[in-house]
Amino acid sequence: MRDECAAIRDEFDADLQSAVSENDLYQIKSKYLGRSSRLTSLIKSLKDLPAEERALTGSTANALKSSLQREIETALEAMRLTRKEQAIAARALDITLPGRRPALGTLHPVTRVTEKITAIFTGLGFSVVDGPEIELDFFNFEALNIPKDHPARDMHDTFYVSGEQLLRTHTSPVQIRTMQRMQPPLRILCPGKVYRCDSDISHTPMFHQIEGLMVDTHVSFSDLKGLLTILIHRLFGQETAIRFRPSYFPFTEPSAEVDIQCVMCRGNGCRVCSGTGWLEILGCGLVNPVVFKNAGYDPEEVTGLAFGLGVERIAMLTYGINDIRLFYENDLRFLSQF
Amino acid sequence: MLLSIRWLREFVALEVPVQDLAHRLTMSGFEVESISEIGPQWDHIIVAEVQASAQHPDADKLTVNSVYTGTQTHQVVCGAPNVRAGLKTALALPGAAFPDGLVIKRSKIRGQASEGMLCSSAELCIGDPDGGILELDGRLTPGTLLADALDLRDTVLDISITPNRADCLSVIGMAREIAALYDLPLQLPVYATPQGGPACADMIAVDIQAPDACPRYCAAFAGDIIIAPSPLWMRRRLENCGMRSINNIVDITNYVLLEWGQPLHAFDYSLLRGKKIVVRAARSAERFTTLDNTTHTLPAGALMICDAEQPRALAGIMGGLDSSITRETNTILLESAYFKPGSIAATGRALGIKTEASQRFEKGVDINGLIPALQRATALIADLKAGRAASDILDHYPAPIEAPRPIEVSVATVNKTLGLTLTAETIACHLARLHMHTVATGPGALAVTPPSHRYDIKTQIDIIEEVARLNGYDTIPVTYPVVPLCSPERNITREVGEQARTLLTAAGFSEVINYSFQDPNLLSALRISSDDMRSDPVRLLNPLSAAQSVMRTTVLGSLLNNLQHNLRANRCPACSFFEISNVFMKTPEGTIIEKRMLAGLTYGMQYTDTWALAGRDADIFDIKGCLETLLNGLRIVSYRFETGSTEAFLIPQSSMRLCIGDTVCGQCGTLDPEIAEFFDAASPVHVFELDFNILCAYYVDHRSYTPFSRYPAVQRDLALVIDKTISAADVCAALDSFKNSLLKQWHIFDFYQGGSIPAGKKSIAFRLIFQSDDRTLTDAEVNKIHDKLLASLRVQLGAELR
Repeated sequence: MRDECAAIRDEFDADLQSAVSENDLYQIKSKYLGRSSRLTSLIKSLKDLPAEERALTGSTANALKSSLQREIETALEAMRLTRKEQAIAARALDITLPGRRPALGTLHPVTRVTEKITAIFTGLGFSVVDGPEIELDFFNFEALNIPKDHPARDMHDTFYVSGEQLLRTHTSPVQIRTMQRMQPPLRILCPGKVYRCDSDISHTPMFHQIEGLMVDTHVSFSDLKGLLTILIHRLFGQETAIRFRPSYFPFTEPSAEVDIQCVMCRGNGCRVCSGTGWLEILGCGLVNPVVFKNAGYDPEEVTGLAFGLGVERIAMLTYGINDIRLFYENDLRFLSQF
Repeated sequence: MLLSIRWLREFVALEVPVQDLAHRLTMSGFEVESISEIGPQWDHIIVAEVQASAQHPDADKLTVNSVYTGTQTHQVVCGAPNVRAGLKTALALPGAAFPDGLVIKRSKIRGQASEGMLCSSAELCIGDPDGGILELDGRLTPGTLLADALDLRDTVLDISITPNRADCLSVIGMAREIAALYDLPLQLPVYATPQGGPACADMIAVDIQAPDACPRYCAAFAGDIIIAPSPLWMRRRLENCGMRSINNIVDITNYVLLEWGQPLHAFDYSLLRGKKIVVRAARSAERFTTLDNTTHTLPAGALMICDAEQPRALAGIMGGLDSSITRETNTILLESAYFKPGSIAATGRALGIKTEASQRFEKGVDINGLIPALQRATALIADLKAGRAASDILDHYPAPIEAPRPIEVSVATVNKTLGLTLTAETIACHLARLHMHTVATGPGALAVTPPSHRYDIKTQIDIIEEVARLNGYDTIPVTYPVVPLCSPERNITREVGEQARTLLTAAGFSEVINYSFQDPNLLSALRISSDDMRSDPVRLLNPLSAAQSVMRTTVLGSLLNNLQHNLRANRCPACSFFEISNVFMKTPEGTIIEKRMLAGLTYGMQYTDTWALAGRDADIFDIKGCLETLLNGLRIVSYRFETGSTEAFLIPQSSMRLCIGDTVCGQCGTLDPEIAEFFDAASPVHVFELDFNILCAYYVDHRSYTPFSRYPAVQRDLALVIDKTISAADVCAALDSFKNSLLKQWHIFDFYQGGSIPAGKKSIAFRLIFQSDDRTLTDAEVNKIHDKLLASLRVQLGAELR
């Protein structure tokens, strides 16, 4: 019987040697380990042997069986690996070639900055409201405490459409429109296009502003400082130094202009900040009681804060854009960078 | 405003460095825009004595001079006729630079060495051109820097004065403010009263016919006037402050204007008729020639200063040509008046004139400052020996303006508004520095009276701002508003805008933003017909240029300009743009409507040629597909494209209207090639423009789930041959109308004409998906539906299987 085992082994070795495909191996497996294989019959016939011989032959046969199993598996594994390698080699891709890129457009930098600022304030419970770009003199000037012939009108080079209609020079008229429509308390943000008849290296006749207004029963100047500190730190980083200095806007009092430490030179003085180390970033103040009166609110009952900033200015500082006119040239070499 | 530090120091004993002052001013509302040092421009120019002067051997008009500068002698060639031995003059040494770009170098002039240049006052910018080189005081020491010898050094601050602080548009105004900031006394000099001039009463009678616009008119006289140049120190101060020196009398009026903020006007008295000054409003269409020799047609109500016969000055703005000071002037009338801001502002704006005087009047001058200004001017006339000034001042002030009334201020309100905890004493102390008189009227209650020059202070909030300013904005703490939580109002337009932008950029379109104004010619270039609302745009009354003179009625024109720019400037092979902006329409009644539009454009290669994909020009289906993706992304379901557009700028066969519900939302199509060429586009341009508000109206924010079938789907392809006249939309409609719940989905996967397809026919192939919600479909079942569908299409469209 043990000779029989040796014979199987020899025959198996020869077959394995000549196998060239996985299929050959499967056939060998079936031939030597299948139900009707010699080795299986031999193991089945063990029970007929005397006990002594049964043990001896049994262990030889079983050892042979597991050895054959293992060898076939190893051969199969080797064969599979070779096949996979051959397949990969056949395809031979140069994967350093660039991928197929779906075309991707970009958002205008003004939109990006507007969305960023809008997100900060909607997070603080502000509503975003819109107003008309062709405004009445009343909303753009009169109601904001800028009567006819007020010297502050000089600060606004206004485009007129008719005697009473003009292209809004700031987003502040939306304050009045909103206060006429809604009762306090309110928190609103009004982004949009504004117009001044001024065109040179640092001015475009149209630009974008974002106006903020908060009206409640007890809003103080220190709250104004807090709110704008949140804005500036979110825009330019927590470590940005901020200063508030007195200024004048007819619709706020006290009024302030807010400077940040120059983002280019970190306050050391450079061309961008004209050597001062500071950059003017926005105007703000507490709502002038006259404006509340004009909008139909009782200045004894409510207080408020307001601020306005130029979107292009923030975009120029954020992205390092050196010429405001680039925003409206819409050159793809510019647009594609945002 | 330009402020001379030396001039300032005449009124306040300020010792701090100028940088400190600039910072303090900036932080209290007077932004210092620049600091200029006067003096370094004369760094290489020194006092020199001409020791010998000899004719140049080879040039008739030149001399060769030996010039002594304290330690050495230089040889200098000079062309001035007044050079002579013994003369003290200014020598520009090698290295000296002049404003016109000239830099002095050692050189040879016609063979003679020259180690510098002897300078004229014009070359040194310290006086009028007088032909020769500077003739200096013989007592000056050779070798001294000219700037020190002539005491030319100064520092000038350029300060931005806000419109509410016109009281600071003068040296004394700024001195008063700076004294308050540093808590120093303001030192106003007392001027000696001039003696012996003419008495006013005999000279003139004042008749104010417009008392509302001119509540006060003061005048003084000076006789025996000798018109001459002003002294150097005065010329320098005027020039450092941005004014040109004219002659002693005009310079004195300007000097007082800069020092006191009160504009003065000097009339040649001999040219005034009838010993009379009449202040009246201009008559309709009255004409007047100002001293700059410009004739104006005056707006009604413009305030005029007239004599008994005719207008002599445009009040508060500019004098008249024929009453101005000349070399022959002997007696002058100096006018110091108060004109109401509104009146001067209106006239100045109407005529487009802005002068140093009008800028001050239109912001307001101190009505109590008229007489001190005249006193200063007459004192200067005496000091400069420009004439005999009178001590007598005419003051016509029929209805004195009431003194400012006290303003009630609550200490609690001050602190609540600012977020500070100041005491009544601190507040009073800050205000006192600003010359505001404070009286305690009760616990925590103050009555504050501002001085007459602070006409901007009217209410409690004005006082609060002053307290904040003096205390320093930096002393106000940073706190955060404590307010009730509330839900912000939704803004659908913005929401849809954000989504549309995301979808379009993902589809390869870049966002542009263009000016809202445009060239009216663009409308005819786009063939917008005259009966179209868009052909009559809103016009600007004061455009910057014709190319920006009307408001946009379509965004497409701008996008085409953007295309043209990119083709010209960077030869881009492809671009896809979109813009979401308002256009402006006029209704037949003349009301202006703003309409938000979404416009887009695509041009050129759809895929840039790469190793993996072949590029091809964009076609109409690219832009249509982009719109379909946009609408699907916004979950707008009820849309359809209708063949043919009404836009004359589109090719009729390659354009369509986009309808949503019952409304036409916009149009899309291929630009007429002629128009495309007009914008330099060589290959087809495809565009769309949609009414954004309609998109917003149909936008669906809501999402809901429909269960899907878990049974296998069966796919069948159906290739039809139909008449060319039948559109794909007709076939789709027929498929839509085929009601069978097992036909779940279908789409067109192939389109073909020509080749094996008979002439007049085309082939459209559909991929059909059959699926049941409750069982696995058998082939037989699907075949039955498929056959029924085909039969139905045969009947409806005469379709045949390919």
